[in-house]
Amino acid sequence: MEKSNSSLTVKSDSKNLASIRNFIREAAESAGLDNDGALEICLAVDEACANIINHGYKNDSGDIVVSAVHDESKLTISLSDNAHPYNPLEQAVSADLDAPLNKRILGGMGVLLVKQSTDMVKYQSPAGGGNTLIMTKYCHNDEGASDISIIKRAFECSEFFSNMPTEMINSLCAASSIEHFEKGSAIFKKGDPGDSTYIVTDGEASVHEGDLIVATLVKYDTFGELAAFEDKPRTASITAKTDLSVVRLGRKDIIEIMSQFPDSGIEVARSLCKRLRDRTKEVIDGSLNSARMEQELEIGRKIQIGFITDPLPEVPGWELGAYFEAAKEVAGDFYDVFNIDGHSRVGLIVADVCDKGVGAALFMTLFRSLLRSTAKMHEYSVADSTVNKQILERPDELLKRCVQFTNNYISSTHGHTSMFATIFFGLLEPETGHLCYINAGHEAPFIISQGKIKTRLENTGPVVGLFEGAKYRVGEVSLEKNETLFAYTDGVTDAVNAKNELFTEERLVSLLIKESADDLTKKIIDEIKDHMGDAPQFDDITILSVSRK
Amino acid sequence: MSDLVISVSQSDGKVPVTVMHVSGDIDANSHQELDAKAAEIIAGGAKHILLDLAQNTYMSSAGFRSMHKIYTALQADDSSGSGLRLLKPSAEVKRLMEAMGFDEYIPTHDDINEAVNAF
Repeated sequence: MEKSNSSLTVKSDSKNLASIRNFIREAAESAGLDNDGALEICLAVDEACANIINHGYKNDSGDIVVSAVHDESKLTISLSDNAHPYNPLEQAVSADLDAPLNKRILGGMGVLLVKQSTDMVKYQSPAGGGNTLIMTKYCHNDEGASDISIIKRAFECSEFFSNMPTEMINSLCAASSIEHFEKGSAIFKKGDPGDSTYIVTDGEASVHEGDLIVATLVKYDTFGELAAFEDKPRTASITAKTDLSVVRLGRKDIIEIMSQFPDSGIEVARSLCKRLRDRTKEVIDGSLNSARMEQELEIGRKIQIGFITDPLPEVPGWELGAYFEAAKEVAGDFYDVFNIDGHSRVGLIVADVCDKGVGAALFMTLFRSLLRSTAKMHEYSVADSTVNKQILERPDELLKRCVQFTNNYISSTHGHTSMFATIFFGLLEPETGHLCYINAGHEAPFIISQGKIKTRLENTGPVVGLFEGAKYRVGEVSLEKNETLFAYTDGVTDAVNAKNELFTEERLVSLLIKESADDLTKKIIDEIKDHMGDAPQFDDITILSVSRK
Repeated sequence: MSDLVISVSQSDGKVPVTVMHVSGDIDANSHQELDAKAAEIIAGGAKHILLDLAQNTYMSSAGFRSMHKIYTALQADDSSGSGLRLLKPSAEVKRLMEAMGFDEYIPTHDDINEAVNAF
């Protein structure tokens, strides 16, 4: 096979990019590339050189050696430098082409162009240091090419097979065939017997586990190669993402051809090692990412705990108890206790934002802030305080204002998310024991009096956050001496043990009746924990108890 | 190789449009001139820029980064429609615009009157 060589050495300086392009244009012309092909290889080399200049050598000076080799079918360009070892093809950031343009981070665009504009690109780390990037461009594209030349090109460009001996590749080609799959059809499914190896020659395929897409395969990616060496079921499913053409090579053929070329063993081992190394890196990167995420969640947890009132404010003549435990790092439940206008009134809130985890936690901070800020508007506001204070004489109006404002705000601003909270919000006058409240779709709190359930504070309106303009009725009740208000979230009654048995409302009621008001919260929590044992907690658990002494 | 030369003219359609005529190569070296010229024009109050690429001989990813910068800078002032349009980009640039999904945001035109009136 006739080969032709030329090379160019330039200093690492972006001023030299134009002369590198001229060199590539001439090489492309003598290799017989058409105009589009010449432009593409030119762009790929230019991007790769700009990468070496800006990221490889940075401010150091050094040489870039560009060499061009061509035979009758393809042009191969090698770029060698003495910069610190860096594989541009493995860089973590790749341009996100689906994001809106003004939101994009444009790093990685150059490498993407290199990959898109060549038929094959390979990185090598020479023993003597530095980097070598090898790019190949074929003189003619696949259109109209014979099956045998498409198959040959696929093997030459496949990362897995490209380093194998030429004679072996020729034998592999002869044993292979081209197959076409329509968009959406399965090439194989997880668990199928593995009998073939494939190389993509046109279109894209998804590697997936059920609905979860793990990777996308593009031109010259090899898949199913593990099956070539061991007779085991497929470890993932592959489906054509677009209309797809592949080269298929049967397991028996590959084993037989390998046995004819014993020297190929080392190259096969090398390719398999590379696969293993790539996977290991992915696993390590994944673990690092999840460690980072855990750290972020821990920060979120700390911030959220800061939203939970602790210690509770002192209310003379009353004993207050509260408990909060998130099922995950962050929670949708919360309670809040705060004085309004000195000690004249106390706001009492227990709420459960639907869902769990980060989304619920973000909404929890929103609900909590809106309720508290509307309740204490007159204290925070700079406007005439006498006008603002008038609302305090009508605690029922204040409650309505808080809940309706919060409801309207969330439903109109975040309605599309369908996030809502069930909320019990009471305003207690400690002096008299008078409590007015809104129960917005929340578990009805208990009033316990002398070992009996005196009453439950049932719904006075819908959940908060879904129905703009919803109206809420205000309930009223009086707490006498030795009576207790006990409010909670369904994480209490729904707590399950290892046998999946619920704690149940009956059990809660029997405890409420039996136990004295002293340390009631702690006694209930001890019982719930005893019930749960080692079983995982599925829902946030929140309790608030208020007893008049 | 051909050096980058940028000249500027004004053209009025429904709105005033600044036309930047770019000739020569835009690469990792020369894109800075394009960036600087565009920044100067935007600082001078231009809201609509037509990038005339009829004489542009080569564009690397650096050129796309420059377009992104111009697009974003114009977008900050005027969110209704793109403030940047291209005139007569080469087939190669058109292909890359599509491959990188830029074409959805930065429209291209082959006729200057049509381009100017599209703003």
